[in-house]
Amino acid sequence: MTNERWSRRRLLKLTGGSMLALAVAPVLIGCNDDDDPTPTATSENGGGGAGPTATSTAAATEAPPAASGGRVRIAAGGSATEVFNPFNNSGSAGFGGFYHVYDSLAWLAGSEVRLGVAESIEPNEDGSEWTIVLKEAIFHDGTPLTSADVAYTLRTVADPEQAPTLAGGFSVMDVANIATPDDRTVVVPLTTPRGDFLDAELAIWSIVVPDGSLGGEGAIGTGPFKLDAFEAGSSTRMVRNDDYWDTPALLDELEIVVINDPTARLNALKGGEAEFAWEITPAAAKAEEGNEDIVINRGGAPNSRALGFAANTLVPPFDNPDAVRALKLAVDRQAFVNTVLLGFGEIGNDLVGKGLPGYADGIPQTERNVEEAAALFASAGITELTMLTGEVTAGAVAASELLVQQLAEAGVTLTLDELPADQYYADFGRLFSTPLQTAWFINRPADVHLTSFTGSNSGFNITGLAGEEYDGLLASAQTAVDRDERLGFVQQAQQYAFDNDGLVVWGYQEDLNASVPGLNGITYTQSVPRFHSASLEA
Amino acid sequence: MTARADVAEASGATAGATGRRSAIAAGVGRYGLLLVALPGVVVVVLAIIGPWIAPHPLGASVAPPFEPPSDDHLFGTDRLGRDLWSQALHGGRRLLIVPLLAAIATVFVGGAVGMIAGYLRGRIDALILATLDLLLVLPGVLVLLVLATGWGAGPLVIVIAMVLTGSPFLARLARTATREVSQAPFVQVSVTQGDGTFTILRRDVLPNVLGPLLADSGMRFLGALYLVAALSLLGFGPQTPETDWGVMIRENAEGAGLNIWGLALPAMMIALLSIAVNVVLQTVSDRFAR
Amino acid sequence: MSARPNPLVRAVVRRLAASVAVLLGVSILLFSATVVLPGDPATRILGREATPENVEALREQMGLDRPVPVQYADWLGGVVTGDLGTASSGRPVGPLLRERASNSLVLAAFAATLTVAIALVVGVASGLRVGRPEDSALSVAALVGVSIPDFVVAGVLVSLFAFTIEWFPPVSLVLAGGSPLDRPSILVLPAVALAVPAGAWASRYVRAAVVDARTAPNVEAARLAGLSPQRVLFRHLLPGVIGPTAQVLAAATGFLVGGSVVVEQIFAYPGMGSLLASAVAVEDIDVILATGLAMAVAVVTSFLLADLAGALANPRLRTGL
Repeated sequence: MTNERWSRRRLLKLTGGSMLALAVAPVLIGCNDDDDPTPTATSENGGGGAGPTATSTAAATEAPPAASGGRVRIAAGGSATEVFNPFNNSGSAGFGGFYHVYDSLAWLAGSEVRLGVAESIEPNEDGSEWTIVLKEAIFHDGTPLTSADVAYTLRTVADPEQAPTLAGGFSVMDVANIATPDDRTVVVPLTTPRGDFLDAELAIWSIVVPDGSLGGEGAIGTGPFKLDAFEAGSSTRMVRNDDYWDTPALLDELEIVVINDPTARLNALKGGEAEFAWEITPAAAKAEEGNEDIVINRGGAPNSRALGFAANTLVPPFDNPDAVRALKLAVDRQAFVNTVLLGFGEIGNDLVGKGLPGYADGIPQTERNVEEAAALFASAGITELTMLTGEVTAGAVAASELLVQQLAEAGVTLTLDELPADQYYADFGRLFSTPLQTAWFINRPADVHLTSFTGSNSGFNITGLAGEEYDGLLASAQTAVDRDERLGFVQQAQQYAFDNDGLVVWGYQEDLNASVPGLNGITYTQSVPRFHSASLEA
Repeated sequence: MTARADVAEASGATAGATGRRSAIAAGVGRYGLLLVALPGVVVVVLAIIGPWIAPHPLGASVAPPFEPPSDDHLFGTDRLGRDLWSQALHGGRRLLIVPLLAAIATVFVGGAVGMIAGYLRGRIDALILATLDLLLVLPGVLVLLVLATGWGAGPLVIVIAMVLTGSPFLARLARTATREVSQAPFVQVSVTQGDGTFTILRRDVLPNVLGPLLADSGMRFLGALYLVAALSLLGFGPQTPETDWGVMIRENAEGAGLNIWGLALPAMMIALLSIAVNVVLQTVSDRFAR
Repeated sequence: MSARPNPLVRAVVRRLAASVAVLLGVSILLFSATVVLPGDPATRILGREATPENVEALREQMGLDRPVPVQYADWLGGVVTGDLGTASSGRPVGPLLRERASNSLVLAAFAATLTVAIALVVGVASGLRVGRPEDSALSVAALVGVSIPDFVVAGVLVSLFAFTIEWFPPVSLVLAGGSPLDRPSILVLPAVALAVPAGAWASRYVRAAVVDARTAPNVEAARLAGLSPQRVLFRHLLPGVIGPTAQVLAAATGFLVGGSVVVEQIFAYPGMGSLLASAVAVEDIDVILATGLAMAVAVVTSFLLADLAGALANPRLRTGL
């Protein structure tokens, strides 16, 4: 049961897999707690600025010029064995295709929840039943979108066999009783009331496929682009859907080309083989800062990964709060950001969710204090530590090496036990019992993060933070239908975690993408670039 | 005559074509030898004594990442702000020792198997040849990747992969040479004297087989060096903070735009090291061939 | 005379049978290697979800609970009938591998041609001038070529020919529904990166073969008979070189196949090599097995072709093939 709940997190594991197979997969950022989204008819084209900020020329700003056309090639990581199945996918290339071929019921523009092909998504009084009303849209083969398609989609995504990485989050639905009172209405009962069902689940994944479909090479959706050709591990070609129910896209053609090495992706951009490089390294971004032929798009904290170390508060020596305190004081967070991220990131304060709604900005920043750290380590009798690490995300090992140096300054000898990235998650028992390990999380709103990775119900609690009081806070943060009430609980939970958890978040690694100048109007949803309203100047 | 696959004849053919000497470094000439060997020998020496003369300890961050060369840092710094020159000095031994072990093990196993097959002939010969033929068609990278999938790419796994994919070639060389030698009158004399097989192989056959074996061991070293570096490049490197030149290439490639030496220095070291080893082994095997 | 088939045909048939035997053995080796690997594929696939029940269920689903010989027979049966299994994503391996193998074949053909050209030109030129400064210079160049790994060559080529003088693209993309031959320029840099070390290596053996052949009786005789140097070279010297050279070039195919794992990865070229590298990274056993076998087929085939070339070039060998 628990196991099912968190199986969505396997996605996180996959994103951190090997540098060869998968580059970055979409970041599952959460969303704000807007209980009553009031979408406009053209929700997709509404207000810009939701995406990452650009360092040089404008990347995501105002509505682009009407006449654009042209072809954009996106260099992205992807797997050779993908099948274009939105229910079961891990590489960037796949997601890049899904978010153009399909529409979602709701999606995240930056940290803001927007409605896609849904006219409205409303809970009942206590959040135990949600009603989805659809807009009028047609699939690429001309058939209209109906409630049956949505019901099928939701049933499929809740099936662990069909959607192993997604089903966990949707297991809260009472699948057998999903109802379709008419062609445009779907009623979804939940097994437990959830005030955050739209924000925490539908906004993160609600791609709508036609009844009975699992995608594939001839996949059709209702999205702004039609799938023209798909070859796993090499390319996905899409052409504009001129009959789109909303404003049609400006670009004629979109092609995702698979390049798994970030340096090669940038090379493709520089060599004129691509117009957009999806995920480049900090070093590359820094090296190209003065290059006028390249625009570096920085994601900022809202589009980032939280990087740090996890001390398990249930395992010696970190069952001693002084040891945890010493560790937190020994870390020079700014040095990590400067060295590991080359400055392309933001400093962390041991909590996940910076830059996103609900984050506890009010808690003062933890500063380094080597003397106090050394004294605390000494009084706890700690002179040697071992840390489990591996390149589970870019920079994880580099950060671990830096921690070795910083702990040495506090009088502690840290030994690294490095595992191959692809085997890091193979032994669960070890991860749950090791005192100290490297840790990274997709930066999501604090409530989404804490309910997933801490508390007694979490399936992947590597710091051991739990207890009656804390579990109560988390439960309230999920069920409360009233937004302000919910945020109150989230604040309390963060304060509790800050005081008691063994997690050190030294910083946030922001998404770094690169494009040619003149490619404007890209919006980002969970780190996936959307080119629906993008334009390309000749 | 048998279903023996003749794939392995390829290696036999090269043995035939080159006689007892390695073809790899042949014809380089005295000045050429000096030209390629000198910098190579310097690199070998640096690889050996590097850890003792490195200005900074292994893995120490001393400056901002990817700084270009300066007075303080001869070749600038790497992705963690470590002194590149120091890291390069620390990272040579592994690339010297692992391939050397692999080459020695390969020569030993390949030579022994080949001599046994060539001397005993008959069914054992056929059986050994059949096994060798299987291994000969497997690219080293493939074998190493499959083994590394389960056991990681530790030194032992690299040596095993090299022995599996390199020794068939050597065994073919040794077998051909052994067959020739064992017809020679002095071997026949030993046989009629009733000397043991092992004694004959060691005393009479080995000295005549060693030349081509050693000459080819340069290629084995090169093959192992390539595998070690390629594996590091594909992401199966040694445990941090341990490093080698292959790891350095991978780690610092992303910063090539900031400090090209992160890439160029280890790449040059690898190239010079393999050139030097080839030349040295060529010279040694020439002595044996005389 | 009428009952006995042509000895050449018989020899070819025998070699074919031998090659099949080798491949059968390779398939056993590969399969056993994946079986004895420590760790359980099901556990690895499940990652953060590996509870005992899940592992058991997946093992059963993957057929891992059956005896190993049964698993092997099942797999081999599939291979023979064209069913190469299923990737962990559910995609059938057969069509995937066919597509990747044909891409690799195109690149390999290009690289092999270059390899042969480099080997012959450098090797013959060097061998004909034994002991002279030209020989020494070429030998030094070849030695350096052998010693520089293909991935270093690739990096140098990209910075020179893709960025400094923009002649060729820095990545070798094949677009959906297309073939690498739509834009042959994408093949140049990876092919050169593969061919330089392989060609330099093979050239050393060609040189040795030329040196040997120069003193062969028929060549000596032709020279003494006063035939023109060109005629001696092309009619008498080179035919004697082709046999051993073909074998070396076949062995160089092993270089190309192995090198393709790294080089295809660097250029993002969708071939077998990059398929293998990504399959290993996620431990996709069916893909690893199929790709490994395909690589062995490539090497065996090239040896077979080399034998044929050698036999056809040398009448003496035709019967003793």
